[in-house]
Amino acid sequence: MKILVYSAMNAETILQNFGEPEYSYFFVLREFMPVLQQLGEVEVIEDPARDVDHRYHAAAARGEQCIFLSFSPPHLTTLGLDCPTIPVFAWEFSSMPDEAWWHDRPEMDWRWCLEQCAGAIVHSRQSAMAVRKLMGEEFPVIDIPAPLQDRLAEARRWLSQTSHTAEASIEIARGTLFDTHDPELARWLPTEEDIIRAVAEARSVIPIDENKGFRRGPKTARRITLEHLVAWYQQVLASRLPERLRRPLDRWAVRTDPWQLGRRQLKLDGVVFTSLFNPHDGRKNWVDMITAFCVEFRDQPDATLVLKLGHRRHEDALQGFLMLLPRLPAFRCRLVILNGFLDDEAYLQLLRATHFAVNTSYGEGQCLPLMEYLSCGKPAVAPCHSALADYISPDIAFTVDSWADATAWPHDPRVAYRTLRQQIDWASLRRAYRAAFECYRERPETYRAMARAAEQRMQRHCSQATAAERLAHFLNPVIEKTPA
Amino acid sequence: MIIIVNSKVTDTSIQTSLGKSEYSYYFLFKQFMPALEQIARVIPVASPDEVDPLFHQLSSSGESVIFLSISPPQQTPLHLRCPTVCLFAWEFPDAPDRMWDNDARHDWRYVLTRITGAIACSHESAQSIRNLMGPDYPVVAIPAPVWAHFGDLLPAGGWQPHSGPRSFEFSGNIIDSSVLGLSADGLVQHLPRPPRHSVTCPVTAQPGPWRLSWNLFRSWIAALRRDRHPRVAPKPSGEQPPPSQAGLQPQEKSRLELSGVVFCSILNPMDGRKNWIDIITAFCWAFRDTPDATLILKMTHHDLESYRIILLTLLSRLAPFQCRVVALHGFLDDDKYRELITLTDFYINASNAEGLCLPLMEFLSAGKPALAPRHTAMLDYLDEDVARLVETSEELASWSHDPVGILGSRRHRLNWESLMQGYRDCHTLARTNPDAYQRMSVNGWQRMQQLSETSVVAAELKAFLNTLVAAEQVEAEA
Repeated sequence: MKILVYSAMNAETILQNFGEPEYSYFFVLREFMPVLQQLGEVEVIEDPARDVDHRYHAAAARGEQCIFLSFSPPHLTTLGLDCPTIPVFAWEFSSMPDEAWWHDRPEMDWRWCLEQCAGAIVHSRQSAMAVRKLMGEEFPVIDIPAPLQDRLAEARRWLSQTSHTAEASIEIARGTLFDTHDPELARWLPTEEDIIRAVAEARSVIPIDENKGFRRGPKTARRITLEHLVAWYQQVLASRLPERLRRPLDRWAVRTDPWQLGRRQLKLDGVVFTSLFNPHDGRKNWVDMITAFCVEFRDQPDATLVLKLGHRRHEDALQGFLMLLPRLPAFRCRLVILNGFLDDEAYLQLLRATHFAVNTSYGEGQCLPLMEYLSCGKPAVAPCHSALADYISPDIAFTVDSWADATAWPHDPRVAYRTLRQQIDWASLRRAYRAAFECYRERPETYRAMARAAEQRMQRHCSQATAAERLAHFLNPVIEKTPA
Repeated sequence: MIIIVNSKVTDTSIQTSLGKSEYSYYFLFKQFMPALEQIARVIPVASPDEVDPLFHQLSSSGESVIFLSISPPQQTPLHLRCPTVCLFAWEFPDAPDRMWDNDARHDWRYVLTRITGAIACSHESAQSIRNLMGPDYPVVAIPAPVWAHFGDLLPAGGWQPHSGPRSFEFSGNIIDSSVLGLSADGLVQHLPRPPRHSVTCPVTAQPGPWRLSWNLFRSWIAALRRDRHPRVAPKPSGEQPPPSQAGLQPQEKSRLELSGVVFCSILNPMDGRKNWIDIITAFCWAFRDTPDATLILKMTHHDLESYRIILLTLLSRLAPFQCRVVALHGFLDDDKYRELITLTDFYINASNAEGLCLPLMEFLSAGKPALAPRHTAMLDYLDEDVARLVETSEELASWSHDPVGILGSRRHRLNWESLMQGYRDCHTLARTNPDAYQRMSVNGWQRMQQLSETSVVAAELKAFLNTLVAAEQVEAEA
């Protein structure tokens, strides 16, 4: 069998488009690749409209079966092909689009798209149910989470060999780092005047002025020049200098302009909670994540929350985080905001230093980072809704309560109320943080049992064996129905 | 006893103050008046400047005189010779203990140590003052005596849910979803269309050191020049359609024909606590396919344009729905207000926090059951016997008038799912269980009688003010 696959991004473009809407589809494709390769001959397509049918007809002529898996939402999937097409997509809401708001764009109604497809692959039971509600019980749909568990085997081995008590030092090759335990941080926070302005703007007391406020006002020529010097150092000079010269210059660059990506070092201790997410993704609900943490652990200097962000437009996002901090009542716990792409080594170091993975989303299509951390035996603090309901439970996580809340489909420009997301119960998030902290501190046996249970759960949930079995089971009848 | 009272707003200025922060103090002033008159001679004054001359003149007769300032503590006049008591509503569990705007009075400790005592409208806010000032500080929780004004509306045996058609005559601006021809699609026809397929991202070569340096040099020059060009916010894309005219023209004595189960809420849409968006979205979601449900929102804001387009857009985003939403903008005199209460089946409150919520207390006094959360001031009078309760959960908040917006306080995040389900439960109750509805009606009426009958409130006021006066005398003699 020939399996044609497509995602809008590939390994080369992914770094430049870090955090853009299509980027997670690439990672999902990457996780599915080994399983697909077990089932047939896989070919990555660059332009579906140009390449798919060409290959399909060639395969048919050879008497070979051929199928096209488009890692894209239905409305962005190339339709009208001869080759049986199956979109593979993530979805986090209670229902799927069943209306088109523009007469000239029928694909906005996913029924119109899926009717032209041979089936659909989603990543959660909730999404599979939504497809069936949309298309009828007979429509071929299956939920298969991205099979990432096997890839982390080496990470698990590495973790089991190193001790958790070893002081972790994480080397970030290119990133930014803001740390509330860093006395220098105060220099980069908004002033009270900035905050008063922002609060008044948010309350519509004054109109928004793009030229006043935190990091919006005009800079002096001196400041502009300094920032460009730091940028030149970080982008051009640093990697060409010997270590001896680089160390003092790195310190100068960070002290002068911490917003520029550069080499950073992070040491973590205490009980570490970690969340990895795209800060421009509104579903992630980082405000609750931070406020509940900083209130619950206000007198707990040994509680740390690491936010590992990934987005190339990191400045806007970071400004939002830094605007929030001075408005919080004084807290002694530690908040670390780390932005940048972690290489394998740094990824493992952060994983090792972490005790709990955190998620406070309004909805998840599957949540790869959380699945990765659980696969490596890191229990979670997370709600049990949308795709998370398929794998989060009290034996591997401190669960956060939530309730349904009306919202719009993310690509609906009308912002029409058509579906439900899950609002987080802030008080229960605080309780979950506290329970996790106390569990790690006072009941290490329970913690270890949760860690083991998490590994086992993910082995069933997202191993290649599980995915291969489900995928073969799903694809066979789909293939049989189509003429080879 | 003689009580001098002031209120910043008067009968004549209330129309233009609707929706401003001081307007609710006018209603407090009006509501407390009859109870005050039962226990003392009440002399209203327009300005605090009149207080001390009056005090000197009156106290020479030997009668005790108290100045009751119906205002938040930070606006209470200080340094008067006349013993001053502040009467206020507050919706947070803690009282301000910081100063801002260079005004020491924002720290309520500064104010409260300089006056004789305080009357809070709820037990929670009275406790917040004790937490701030110590357990012995003279503060008491006394609700506004609203029952007397509306208790007479209850028919013998309590209200039955309405079943037949009713009509309501209203003069003012009306936004009625049933005649608007609402369409969500209409909101976006002018917008440019997004690309049809996901665009394969092109690979761009990573620039070398010379190219990077050159780019940075150009960016440096541009940044130095741009100093002179101000930043502008991006303009919305596409040609904007003209704004809707719906509701813009005030109607004279327009007749609204109502039927089915009628829910009503009275709120200022600019008051963020009130969650009016949730009130509407949960209603339209609950009754998307239920034509016999109507939500009436009486808006208490002087400026229709501050919310008209927001409301029309919101209703369009919810369309299509079978139920009906009617927003009324304009003045209701007492008779019209009583008529509105009469034709309502349930009062809705979906607030994050309340200092008192007079309309809710008024509807309950008239025997109308409520759909509302139980927190802050509502703790004093709401439970399952008089309302379908909406669940909430604690979250961070800042005091509403703190300019820095420090998130040191708490409010209550509304559980939308519970509100939506609550609407449906109320509808079912009204449709299938009139006896239970009637029991709730009588319970609400009785609850408010026990809590806010004028004589009850007058007795509480008298007891509290007498202890203050006695303490003042002891101090004066010492």
